[in-house]
This record gives sequence, structure tokens and C-alpha cells, in this order.
Amino acid sequence: MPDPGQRVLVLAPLGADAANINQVLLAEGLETEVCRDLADLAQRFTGGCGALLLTEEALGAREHSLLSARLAEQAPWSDAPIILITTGGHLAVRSGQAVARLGDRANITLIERPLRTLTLVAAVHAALRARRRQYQVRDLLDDRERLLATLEERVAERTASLSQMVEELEAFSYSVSHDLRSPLRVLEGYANVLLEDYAAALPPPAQDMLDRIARASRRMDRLTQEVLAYTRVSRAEITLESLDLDLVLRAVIEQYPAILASRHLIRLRSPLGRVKGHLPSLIQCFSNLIENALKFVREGEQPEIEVFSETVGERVRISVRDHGVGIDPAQQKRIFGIFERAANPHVPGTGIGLAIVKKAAERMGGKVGVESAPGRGARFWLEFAATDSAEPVAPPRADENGQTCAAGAMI
Amino acid sequence: MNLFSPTVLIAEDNEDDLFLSARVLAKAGLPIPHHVGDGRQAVAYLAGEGVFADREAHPLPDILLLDLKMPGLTGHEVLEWMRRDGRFEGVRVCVLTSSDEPRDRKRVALAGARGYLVKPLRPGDVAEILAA
Repeated sequence: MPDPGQRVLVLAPLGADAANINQVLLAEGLETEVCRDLADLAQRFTGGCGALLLTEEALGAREHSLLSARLAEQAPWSDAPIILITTGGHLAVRSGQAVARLGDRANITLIERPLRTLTLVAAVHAALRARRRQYQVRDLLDDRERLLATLEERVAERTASLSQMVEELEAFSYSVSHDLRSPLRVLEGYANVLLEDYAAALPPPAQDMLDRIARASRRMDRLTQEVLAYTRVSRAEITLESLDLDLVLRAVIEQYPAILASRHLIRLRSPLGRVKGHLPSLIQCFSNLIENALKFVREGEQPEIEVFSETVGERVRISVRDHGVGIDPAQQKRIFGIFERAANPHVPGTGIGLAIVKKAAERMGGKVGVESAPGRGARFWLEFAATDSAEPVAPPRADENGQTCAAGAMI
Repeated sequence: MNLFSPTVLIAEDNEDDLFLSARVLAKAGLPIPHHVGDGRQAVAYLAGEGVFADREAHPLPDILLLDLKMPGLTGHEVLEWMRRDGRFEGVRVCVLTSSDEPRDRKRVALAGARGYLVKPLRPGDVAEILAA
């Protein structure tokens, strides 16, 4: 089927004009359609065309709107070339009127009579070439449209599968927290029942083994709880506010019984400054770092911990320094990974605490790091955006995630 | 409520947990608790329906120890049903569950539970239940 996009629509109502023009164009190998009147031309135009070839007489005072309306309706990419054959000379004013009637969207080339074949053919070729470009633009726009549509579809699909994944993760961690812990509790429970109620009937090695069963199940329970705490830090909604670090550290010391008992070993170098953070996450970070500092001491020594801060550009770096066993440089990068522990089998731990610190710090737009040498203590630091003291302060409050509440506390 | 021998109902689907909780209550000197094995039974017991119609044998409890994850109706659903019903303001509900998930805590607090305990029940918890 011939391409309607390359046909030339001809309308020349007087005499043999149409037949003559048609003959010239056909001789050039061009495709033409001679129209009866403006209505016919306008109708064919909507089916696509390469160019319109009109004589001035075709644009009657009344019917011109049939064509100007179609021209005005063109898609943005379309600018159909019109070749208008005019009378010229002293009648040129009539041509001007004809041009004006076709409106703003008419892309007109005027050719004055007497008509020369060469001029006409060159004008038609130029018009068709221009029109081919327009159709190319149309195809590119169509492609782009299709791509955008599939892209949007793909984004929508991804979003749906992501939120489904989040839901599944939530359901998974809920089920971990309820179902996986239940058998552990039963193990520990019965071991303790045996130890409490049947101790007299059990030889010491049996008692020791029951004790080990109870301890192992407690450890497993602690692991599951910390994995849950880690996933909670990863997914919880966090809103940042300006926080006074002195208040945060005091809250840490007061809320954690293990830290409170050692508070005389912890020196706060106030003022520590203000940072942009999320209170429950900050409390969790510092409690983990201080608990570690209390834990990793050299045998027979008392821990000594110092918390101080310094300004680094627009940020505040808060350090927790101890004089404990220190960390081998080779291990310093790894220890922030989940389940990674510096090799010290004598100190209990799950290898999750520092992973929680790192994840929480990152979620608050902060950074974490460590400087240490074996036997020479360690300095863990957290870095957050500094804030102005003029910003409103949120007083420390009970951790909404329940992380600092002792399990079993009454509401 | 008789502070020295309150009526306790345990809603718990896990027999081991039931045994371990009941043992702690017994050691604290409380009377033998009543027991239902899932959420539907808990509702039936509280409403005094069906096999629980005899209030002599199945008295309305002073304290309900309510597990959250149970088949049929969950503890959340039981609690919310009690809240809507309105007849059970005299029953102190204390959730006794495996996890301390923040969303669970929030939801049961909103539904009017007086306490939230994480299993296993410990001797020290009993005083808190009585004081709640």
C-alpha cells in the first residue's frame, strides 16, 4: 500500500490546472491525489499527506475554514507544507488574503504564475523532504512515549514488589520474635525446673549439664533478640531533631542498669555539643559502645572510659575511649559487620552490637569509626551534623521502641 | 478482688508455657489458675457461653494472663473484643507473650491492657501483676 505520508494532495479548480499539475508530478514519479473541493482535500488531509498543492482560486472566502481548522488541529510535530500557486502581479493583495485565511499553523510556500515546471517540481520535492523529517520526529516521539509508558509500568512493578518484600520482612521478623524464641524459653524453663525442684536427685555433673543447657538457650535467645534489634534499626522510621548530647549520654547511663552500676568509671567531658539525630537510635549507639568499653578490659583491671567530643567542620565527632584490650588493625574494618567479633572467646557477645551502631549512625546521616592498637585501648567515634543550640530541644524520653525498657516492665 | 487469692485465667495455647507459668503462680502462693487453650475459648469463657456457662466452675477472673499469638482469635482480638463488650472492666488483663515487639506493646496499651510481660513468667512478675 502506498505511503499516504508522501502523497501530494492537489486542488486546482480552474480549467485544466489540476490535470496539468498532476501530469508534471506523475512524470517526476510522485504520488498525487487530485481533490474535488476543499472539503474533499480537508478530509484526505486528515488521513496523512506529504504536501498540499493549491491554487489561489481554491481558497474561496467561505470554504477556507474547512482547511484552516484541520491545520490548527495538527499534532505539535506536524507542520504540513502547503504550496500555494498565486496570480502575482497587481493581484498579489488577493494572495495575501488567501494566506491570512489559512491561519497561524499554515506552512506556506508561494509560487507565482506563470508556472514553470522546474520551480514547481523543486518546491514539491523540498516540501516532501521537510514532511519526511516531520514524520521521523513523530516516530521518535511515539517511541519515547512508549518507552516512558513501559518505564512507568516497570517502576510501578518494582515499587509493588519492594513493598511486598518489606511486608514479608516485617512478617518474618514478627514470626522470628514470637515463634523462634518460644522453644528456647521452654528449654530454659524445664532446665531450671529440674535444677530447682529435682536438684537433690541429680548428681553434680547432671546439674552442670542442665546449667549449660539453660545458658545455651539464653544465649540463643539473646542472639535472636539482637538480630531483631538490628532489623528494627534498619527499617524503623527515623525523624531527626536537634539533640543535646549531654542529655543523651545521661539518659544512656541512667536507663541501662549495667552501665549505671559502672557510672563512676565513665567520665563525660561536657559540654559534648548538639547534633542532629534520633534519640532512641543515639541512645542505642552510645549504650552499645559504652557496654563494649566496659566489657573489653585487660584481665584484673578496672575499665576506664572517657566520652568527649570535637568539632570537625560542620560536624561533631563524639568519641568513647577506653584503655582496654584494643583491637588488631586487621580486624578494625570487620568488626562493624553483623556477626563479626574481634577474637576474644572469653568475652561474651553476639557480634551484632557494633553492626547496630553502624546501621543506626548511617540512618541518622552519621558515620562511625575506630582507632585502636592491641593492648592500648580503643577509641570508637560517631560523627553527626552539628546543630545550632537555638533549635528546640527534645528532652530524653522513654524509648518508643521499647529497647531500653527491661523486658517484662509493666506498662 | 481478693488480693490473697485472686481468680486467674490463663489464655495460652502452648502446654509447656502453661505448665511453666502455672508453676510460677503456684510458687507465689496463688490458687490454681483456670485455663483456656485459644482466643475463641477465652471469649467463650469470659462471656460464660457453652461449656463455660457454669459461673461456679468458671468464675469471671480477676486477672487474665493473655498470650498474643494464639490460633483462632489472637490475644489482640480477644482484648479488643473485651474492650468493645464493656462487661469486663473488672478483669485486669496482663499480656504474657514471647516477644517485646514495639507494635504489640503499643496495640495492647491502646486496647486497655494493664500489663505487658515477656515470657518466661518470673517470680518477680507476680507481684507486678497483682499491683497492676
